[in-house]
Amino acid sequence: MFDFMMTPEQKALQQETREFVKTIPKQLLVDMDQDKVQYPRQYIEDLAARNLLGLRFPKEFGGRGLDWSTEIIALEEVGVLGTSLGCLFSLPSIIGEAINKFGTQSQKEKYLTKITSGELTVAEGLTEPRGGSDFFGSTTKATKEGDHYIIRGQKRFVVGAEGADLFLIYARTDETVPAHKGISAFLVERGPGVKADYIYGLMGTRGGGAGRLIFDDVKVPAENIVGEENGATAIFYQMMIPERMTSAAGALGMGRAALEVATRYSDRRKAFGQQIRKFEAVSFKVADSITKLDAARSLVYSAAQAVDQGAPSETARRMVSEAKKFATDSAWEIVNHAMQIMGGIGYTDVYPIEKLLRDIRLIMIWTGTNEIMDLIIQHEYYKELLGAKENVPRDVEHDAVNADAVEEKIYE
Amino acid sequence: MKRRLLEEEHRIFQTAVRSFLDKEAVPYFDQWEEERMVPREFWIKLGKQGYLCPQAAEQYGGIGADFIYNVIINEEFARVGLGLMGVGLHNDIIAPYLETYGSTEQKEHWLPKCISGESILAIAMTEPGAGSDLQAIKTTAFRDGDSYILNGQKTFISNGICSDLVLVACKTDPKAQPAYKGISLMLVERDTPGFTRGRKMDKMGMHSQDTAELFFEDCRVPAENLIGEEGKGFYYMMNSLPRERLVTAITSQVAAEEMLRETLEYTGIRKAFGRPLKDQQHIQFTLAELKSEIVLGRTFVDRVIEAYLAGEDMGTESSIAKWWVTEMANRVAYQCLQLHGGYGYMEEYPIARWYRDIRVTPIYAGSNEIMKTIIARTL
Ligand SMILES: Cc1cc2nc3c(=O)[nH]c(=O)nc-3n(C[C@H](O)[C@H](O)[C@H](O)COP(=O)(O)OP(=O)(O)OC[C@H]3O[C@@H](n4cnc5c(N)ncnc54)[C@H](O)[C@@H]3O)c2cc1C
Ligand SMILES: Cc1cc2nc3c(=O)[nH]c(=O)nc-3n(C[C@H](O)[C@H](O)[C@H](O)COP(=O)(O)OP(=O)(O)OC[C@H]3O[C@@H](n4cnc5c(N)ncnc54)[C@H](O)[C@@H]3O)c2cc1C
Repeated sequence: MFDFMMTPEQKALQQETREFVKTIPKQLLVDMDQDKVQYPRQYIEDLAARNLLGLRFPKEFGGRGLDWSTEIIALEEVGVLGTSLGCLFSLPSIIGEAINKFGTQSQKEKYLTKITSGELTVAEGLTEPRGGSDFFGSTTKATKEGDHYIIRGQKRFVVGAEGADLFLIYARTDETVPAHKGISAFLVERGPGVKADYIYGLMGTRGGGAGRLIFDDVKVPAENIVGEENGATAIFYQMMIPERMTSAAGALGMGRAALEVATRYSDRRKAFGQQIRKFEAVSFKVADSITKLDAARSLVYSAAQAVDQGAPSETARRMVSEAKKFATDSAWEIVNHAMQIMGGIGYTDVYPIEKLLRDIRLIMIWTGTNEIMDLIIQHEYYKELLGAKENVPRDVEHDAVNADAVEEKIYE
Repeated sequence: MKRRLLEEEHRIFQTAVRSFLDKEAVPYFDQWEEERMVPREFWIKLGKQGYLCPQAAEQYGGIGADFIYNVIINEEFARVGLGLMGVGLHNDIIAPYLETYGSTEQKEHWLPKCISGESILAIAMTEPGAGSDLQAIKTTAFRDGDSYILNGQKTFISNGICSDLVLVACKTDPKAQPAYKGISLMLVERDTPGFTRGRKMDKMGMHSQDTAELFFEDCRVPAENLIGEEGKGFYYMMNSLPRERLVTAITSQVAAEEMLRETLEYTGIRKAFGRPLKDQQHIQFTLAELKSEIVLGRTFVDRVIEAYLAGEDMGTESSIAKWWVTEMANRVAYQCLQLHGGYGYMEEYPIARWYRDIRVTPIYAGSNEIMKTIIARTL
């Protein structure tokens, strides 16, 4: 959100988050990027100590009862730390959503409270080796046996696999029906049969525990099912909102951070006897970047408002998907511009741009690729437009000179 | 369409280079990336194969080959990885200074070693305070008896650590007006007192290419190491840089072709929603667009190569090729990585490396903005 739109409380949250972000030692970022730190648990505990986790959830479960329009302020601020720390900040907000919206009172007491307090760190496993975009193609299975389920399968590319205590896992509970009617969501605690491997040599987003999860006949109490049995489709659709809102708002922080570094650099660096900002090749890249950042921030804010104001869930889903796509695409372009503005030095580790550019390449892929965003956006928009009945605007189709030449309007 | 540039004998050479690299480079390349250096033994093997400075005259041990052979070497090496760009730099960017502007004694002294791989070359133009604006360099070389005394600092020097012979751009007359008239080129040998190397720089990509800072502190260089005439350095560089731009376009073009090849393979195998990715129209169209851009790039690059072979002036065209192809290759990298989904973000898939490596091409060898200033000047 823009500063001038913030309420005093929102400004205070921005300041509070900024203060926290400044306490993160640079060494942590470096060690994570070098995979020396594979899961910065202390960071999550520090966030919790300041009551910054799960901001949207009710106070009784340790949140602050804020809305999305406010949470995105904190997300943008933490976003400047890069994808790993941004994601670890977001995960309680994501997994908490499932518990808060679909969980039982006792799940909320047992889990949500401990997630916001930092006692339980969390991760989410949707993606499988054969199915990322194709969520319903997933093959992890949960078989009911008395008062518990036995989970068997594999999840891939899970941020926090290494290190998290609690996983939100989707698994097939009924294979006799179409997938969207036969998947359930479970809260799985780390324990016997849960194996995490920190195996990926990632281009960026390191040190956030991204790894592979293997569930080898893991026994999960039946009460750990979230929502209805075979009812995970509703959860999956709801989860698109926190997953994508957090990616989108975090992207704003990364773009902003790179733009600030590059803009300052262009004010200091000289070539041909003048500051390089005097060259329009440079200053117009800055102009393009800040325009994109503002446009992205506007869309992220509007999407947050759509959810907060209770817009129809299709509209909210479309706008959040648009925000995710546009904010991540824009942020990438901004970081990419930043690298060009910096010249050769930007490619080295003397400035953080090369790390940001490695980090940011992920965000057009995770929490649903931007192509999957297009899939959703068009789907919802068709539905919305073709189904519109009330308060319909002027149909300009009839304004053409030969608009009434029906014999020319052939559709098949 | 058949590639017209290559005749039968060129294709034979191409196959030979490729199979040599398949044996001698491909299996070790990941290790070199890890070690952030291409080993010296590899250079010696290249020398034995005749892949170093093949253009050099026979009297120095070269084979007097046509530039087309250098093109093939650049292409095949780039195919393995852009981290091998040091070889093209040695062959096509630095050695030609010695060949074109060096004296017979200088050539006799150094060229044979450049051809055998004993002497690896680097060129040091860029300084912390002067990259695009070469005239603003501050490194000086003052005459003192039969030597020059060099003082200054260079940065981002490719082959910076492994090089034995560095062609240094410096000012023999820092007061010259205009400034470029005071620039000269000097060869500095490894172990010359006063010449030290700084740290190997950590970069986003091009890991096997050792990029370093170089320092000259009262570094005494024999006067006979001056290339050509004093004060003519800038002129020599302006004459030579088009070739550097062309080589950058050539290697970036190959990178784009390789990335597409890998992605075609991947999208043919990987399935989502029950069918190969390649069956989705969005993916087909993305691939179709990339293919189109790549073919356009190839056509133009080959045309510039032809012009260069024919001795035509290609100063502007090499700049056009450099900026357009490097940007095109970056678009290709972005899309190809995207089409790999989460796997593209993992280093075990080559697309991750290509993506990191290709990002420098719009920056080095003259930034793309500088290319546009060159083109604009001719309009
Ligand atoms: C570092 C990292 C962290 C991650 N963290 C998590 C996590 O914490 N939890 C989790 O569950 N997942 C996580 N993911 C997984 C991520 O969400 C998936 O990688 C992503 O959803 C894409 O799935 P995929 O990799 O299987 O790609 P694929 O589904 O194989 O897609 C490959 C390409 O095809 C395109 N494509 C697919 N279908 C279509 C179509 N119908 N039309 C057009 N184009 C299409 C995609 O957009 C993409 O470009 C993470 C991934 C990475 C790399
Ligand atoms: C991996 C790597 C290897 C390299 N290898 C070598 C090497 O072997 N030898 C060597 O000498 N150098 C080498 N370089 C240096 C490289 O050539 C320079 O980085 C490049 O020329 C840009 O100079 P700079 O970094 O000083 O950027 P600057 O000149 O400071 O430029 C900063 C920004 O301003 C823009 N700009 C500058 N002037 C203008 C203008 N007039 N109009 C519009 N925009 C302008 C630039 O395009 C850039 O975006 C290498 C660099 C890298 C990263």
